[in-house]
Amino acid sequence: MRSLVALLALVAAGCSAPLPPGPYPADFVPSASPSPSLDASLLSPDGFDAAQRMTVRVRNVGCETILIGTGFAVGEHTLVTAGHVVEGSRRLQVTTYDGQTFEATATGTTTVADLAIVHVEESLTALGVLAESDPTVSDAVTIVGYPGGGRLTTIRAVVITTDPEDIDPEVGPAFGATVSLEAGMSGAPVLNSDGEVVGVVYGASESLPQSFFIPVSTLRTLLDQPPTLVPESAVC
Amino acid sequence: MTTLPPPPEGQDPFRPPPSFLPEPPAPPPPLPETGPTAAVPLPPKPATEATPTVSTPLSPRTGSVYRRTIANEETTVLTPVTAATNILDRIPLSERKRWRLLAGGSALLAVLLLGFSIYLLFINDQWQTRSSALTSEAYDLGSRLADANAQIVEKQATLDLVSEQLNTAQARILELVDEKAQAGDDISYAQQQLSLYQELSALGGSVSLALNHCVNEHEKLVGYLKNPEAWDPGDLAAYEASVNTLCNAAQSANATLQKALTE
Repeated sequence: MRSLVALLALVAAGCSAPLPPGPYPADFVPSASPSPSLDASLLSPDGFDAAQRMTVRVRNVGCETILIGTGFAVGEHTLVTAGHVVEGSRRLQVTTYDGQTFEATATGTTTVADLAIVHVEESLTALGVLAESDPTVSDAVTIVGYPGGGRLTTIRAVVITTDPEDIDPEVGPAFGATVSLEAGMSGAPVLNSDGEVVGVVYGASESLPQSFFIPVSTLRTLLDQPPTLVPESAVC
Repeated sequence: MTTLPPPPEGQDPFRPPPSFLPEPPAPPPPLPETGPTAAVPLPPKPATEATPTVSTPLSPRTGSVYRRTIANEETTVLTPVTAATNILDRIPLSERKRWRLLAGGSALLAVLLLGFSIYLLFINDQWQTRSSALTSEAYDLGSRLADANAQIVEKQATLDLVSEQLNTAQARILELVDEKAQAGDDISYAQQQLSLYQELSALGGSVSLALNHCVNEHEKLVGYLKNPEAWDPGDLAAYEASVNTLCNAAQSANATLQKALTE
């Protein structure tokens, strides 16, 4: 009986006995090495981000004055800016972030809000994407523009109010942000954290560090009704 | 662990209960005295077929009757030993078979263990060879990894430098764009001023022309007034009124020019 048990134990040990090593691998490096897959369409061609590339500097040459504002591209030949930026213009010139200057061929304003649509002959490559909904209070936003008509600047802010009654009921629907902006930022795009346009700057408080912008819902209404735009050209 | 029932009262607990021990046989009855020649009768031989039984009193614990039989008694059959008997012959046959089976099994086990040990030595040799090859490969991969890490560090440093250069270039581009825009503003302003000066110049020329015209007409009017009888009084008055209108317009234009020049 003991011999039988020992024999069974030996057979069991043989079943779990160490086996010889398998064939030696030809190469320890994986054949399909991971490689970075970058979407070329998302890359900036020159290191400037999309917000900078879609923002333009607007020069309004009037009869006796020159006004500087900001705008941004929403179409291949369409720009959006504040209405008072293009007011009383004899010539309207648009300069991109990289220094290209275009002459506007037509402008139109609306009475719904302080907004204007500018058309240019040249093709604009970097276009802004309009957000589906308006921002809410305490949302972080980014404003890109030309403060004082100077260098292209990016400014961070937070939405503090979405009640037009708190700002200027005559302007129509308007939101407020916690940042004081200089002249020249009118017409600048207000972007959310995804880089989508949620508003257009049209003014700032003189006494408080607050700026005001028109929500994207109003801008969409304006863009959806192009016939309401009437081309304007000042006569000196 | 089981718990034994308590012993009966008055009994030593360390002593096994009487029911676990067989009862001693009852003493034989006293023999009758029949005289010196009377033989002692042997106890009657128990029959093999009939199993004699001895009744015992009831067990105090179980109450059953223990029957003592021959089958219950252990018996040992002894084999007669002679001087010629071998020592192995003294071992029972069943015991010898067991020893032989054990010896055979042990031998087989030893053979198997020897074979298994040789197999293990062979496997060990193969694994040692594989271990050496893997160690060499690991050193080679480690060396290549170190080279790759060094290249990554070098590329990262290059990337940092390029990023810094890109930031510098971007800042410079923005500065140049700003300078160009400012220059454009200046040009636009200059053009605006030039246009304004051109308008003023044109306005000045018109004013000068109107004033000259006014002076000329005034001189003509003075000549007419030196000989008023030669002219129709109505026509003379109308002419004088038109000259005044012309001069007033010239003076108004001159005033506008002066005002524009002062602004």
